[in-house]
Amino acid sequence: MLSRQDREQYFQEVLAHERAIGHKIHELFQAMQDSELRGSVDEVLLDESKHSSFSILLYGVLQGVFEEESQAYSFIRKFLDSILPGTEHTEKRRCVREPLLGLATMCDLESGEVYHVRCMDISPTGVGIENDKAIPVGRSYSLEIKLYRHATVMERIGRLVWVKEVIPGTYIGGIRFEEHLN
Amino acid sequence: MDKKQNIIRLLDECLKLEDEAIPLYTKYLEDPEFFEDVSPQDVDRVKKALMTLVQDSRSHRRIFESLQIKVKETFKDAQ
Repeated sequence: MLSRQDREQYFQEVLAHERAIGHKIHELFQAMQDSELRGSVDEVLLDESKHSSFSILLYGVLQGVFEEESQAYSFIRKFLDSILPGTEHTEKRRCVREPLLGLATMCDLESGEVYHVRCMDISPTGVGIENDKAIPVGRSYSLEIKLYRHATVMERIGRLVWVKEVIPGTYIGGIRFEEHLN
Repeated sequence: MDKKQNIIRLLDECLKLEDEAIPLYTKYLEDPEFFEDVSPQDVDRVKKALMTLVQDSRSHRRIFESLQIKVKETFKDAQ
């Protein structure tokens, strides 16, 4: 018989997969926007109207796919947060987190060790991260956070409060901000 | 790696992820035991959410396949 933990495990797997798709689409979108490639695409096409139409079509289609994936992830994340059993981490949060994807660099303030992680949600008081390895908990890190939806990089100091392996080889964690740097 | 080959590789990876998504999202849709102690309202909402993800995955898969064909054709013409 399936337990509550089995159900939570399954939905964590669904969310992790959705995040993986979101990150991969963004990586593809960045590659397609490369000016060199855009120039190559334009060179091939003979008709001037097809040059710009084809490029716009490609970028527009990818942007639409990214938007749909983002909306689906946001919807299912918020919904599942509402039905999953409360954890000590969610109950202690001061602000609701928006399920926005992005990338972050974490630098351990003591050891200087650097980790490149993925962002899975954010609020004024903290950020949720995802990584393929566990990161030491209880330590302070300087953070550079680049969300896909925002042009600017956020700089913060934060403490990693918790880490959990949700599916084999995938760790999620919560960082509480301690300072703004910009 | 050549940037154009990189795009083809990324499209392959997107396709693989979408292919993996569909069996994952449909895994428990018809399993009454999975939703045994969940309210009927929540069951309905969960199933609708998962089906939306499935439909989106199918649609996105078609888009990625079309993009892959277009990108390969474009690079072939350039050679």
